[in-house]
Amino acid sequence: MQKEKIRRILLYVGAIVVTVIVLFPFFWIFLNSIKSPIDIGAAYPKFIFHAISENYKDILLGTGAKSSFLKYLKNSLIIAGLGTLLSFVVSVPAGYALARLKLRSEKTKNNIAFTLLSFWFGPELAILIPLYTMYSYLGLTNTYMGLIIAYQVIGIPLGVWIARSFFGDIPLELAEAASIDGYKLWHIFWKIDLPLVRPGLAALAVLIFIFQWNNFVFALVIAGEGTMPVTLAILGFIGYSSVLWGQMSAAIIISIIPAIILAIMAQKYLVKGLTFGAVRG
Amino acid sequence: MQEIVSKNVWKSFGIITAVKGLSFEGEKGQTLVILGPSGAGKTTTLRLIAGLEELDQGEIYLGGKLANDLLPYQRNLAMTFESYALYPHMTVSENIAFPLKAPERKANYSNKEIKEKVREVAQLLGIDELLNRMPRELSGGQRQRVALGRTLIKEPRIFLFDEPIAHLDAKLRHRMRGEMKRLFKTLNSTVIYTTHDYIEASAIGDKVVVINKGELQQVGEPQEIYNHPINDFVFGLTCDPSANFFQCKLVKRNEGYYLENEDITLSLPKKLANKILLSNAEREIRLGIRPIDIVVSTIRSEKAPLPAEIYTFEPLGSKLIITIKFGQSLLKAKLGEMMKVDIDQKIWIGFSMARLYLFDLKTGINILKNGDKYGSISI
Repeated sequence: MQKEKIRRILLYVGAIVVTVIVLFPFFWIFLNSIKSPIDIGAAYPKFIFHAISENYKDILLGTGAKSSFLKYLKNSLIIAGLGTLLSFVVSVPAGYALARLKLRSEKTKNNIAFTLLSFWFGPELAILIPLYTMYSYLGLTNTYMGLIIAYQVIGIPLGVWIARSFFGDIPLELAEAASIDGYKLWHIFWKIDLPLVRPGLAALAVLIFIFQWNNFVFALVIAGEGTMPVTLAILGFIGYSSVLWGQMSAAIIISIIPAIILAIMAQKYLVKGLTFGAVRG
Repeated sequence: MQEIVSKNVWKSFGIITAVKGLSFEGEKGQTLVILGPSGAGKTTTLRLIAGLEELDQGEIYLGGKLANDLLPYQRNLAMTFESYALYPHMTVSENIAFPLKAPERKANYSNKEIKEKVREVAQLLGIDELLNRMPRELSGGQRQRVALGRTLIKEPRIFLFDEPIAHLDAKLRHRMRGEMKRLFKTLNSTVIYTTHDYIEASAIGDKVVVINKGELQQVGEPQEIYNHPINDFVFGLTCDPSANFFQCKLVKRNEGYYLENEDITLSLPKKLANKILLSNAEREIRLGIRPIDIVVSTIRSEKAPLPAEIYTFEPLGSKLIITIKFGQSLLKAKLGEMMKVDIDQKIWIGFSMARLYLFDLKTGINILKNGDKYGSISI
């Protein structure tokens, strides 16, 4: 009894420590985003100060170079949004095919799936130089399309792998019943299997979006001024002579909001997606 | 015309051969029951007919046409699965209507007609109150009827039923058995039905196909299979609760022939003994007797001359199942009337001699052919 109590207390203490470690940077950045430059630069970190909203006003409503932050936000939305759409449209049917179609051997199928997944493991840096060379040749640098295509390296492997496991969990008999009822593969996919994994796929889309939204390396090499996403734009607050800490913090806070909202939504769907098998009729 | 023909069909999964050269035929309007224990290859056979599995060898004809290369949706069949396979995201009414909304059939029905037909089928099955429910909100029996409804609405060439009532409780199973039989006859449709239960097969089937380990054992009308099982395996299936077997040897003494082991000696007519001698060099016989053909009595009589003991007993309302300790073996007897018995009670037993079955010990083949007369066996 006593032992159990101690165990629980230690567990909670551990959880609190981890939570603080994870959340502290966000908290600190948030504080910075509502501090004046003097408060930010104070020798000892200040927790009591006069809060200001100038940093947010500057980047959202400001003039000159600072005002373009909204533009970068739009770039991010376009690239990650369309990128997610493309990944989704490609990887869901591909995952279905890998889960359901009969290939000559099961092994080939697993090899294809695992090769795709290995793109996900591989460091992005490894493909940057050839990617840049090709993009220059094709004129894809500094274009939305170029970025969207590059982001597929992030989206498709994840999408195929997860979609495959979702479809694999549906009892095969449903598809077989539908095929006897007079439906061809495409219709079975559309009317039986797809609706059954819908909650899981919503979570998948959110996940792909978050990963693409957060990408930095591809944007660093491929994007230009016109197509720069927020992850890259935040670097712009570091100048030669000074670092605009306040504005940069505000920009970071704004840029993580979509990801946080989606993550919360995804959490809800993910729970549904995970319990899906248990409540199956 | 033969509506369904399976000709020397083989199917393996890796190293396991599930169906070994299976051949049988079914006429239009007939109910064909595939009977066998679990693992016999019943479901595989059904899946081969449905086109859900590709056969390795042999031919399947549906309506006189070779169907080997047809996809499931081209075969014009309907099938219920053992697990029912209801679509969990559709209501009962959507589930039942699903086959009619298939791309190739859709043009033939207006929405109103589909609705009408769903209502008709639901009424027939007594599920018209449930049309707006989801499958997860239904009981096992209700799900089974929805699955049946989805099968019936299509009016296909052949119905396939894979142990459709195996998971229902005994009462409901009994009721559905009768209802399904009636349904099959009213629809005048060809039905292939699998079960592991001889009583179910016998109740529903016009023709029973007995298989074991992927091999055909016997095809025939239920009564024929009951009266003339081709081997000890088929005999065992038709016994309720289970078959009684004795291993005996044929011996000749003082010009007479006897079947005997340590517990029993039966005198055989000469004709029958000769028949055994011709077919069975080792002279070893497996004697089979159904529980219902054992005579049990508290007093010794001509019909019950053998002493035995009651091991245990199960009164089942109007029936009484007794497990009898007779010499080295435990026998099951099923009595049509109640009698007062107790464990370890001494009793007298006998066999209905005309209902004894003799099987070759090695091959299991039934030695007595249909119609052969050899005279009677006596104790």
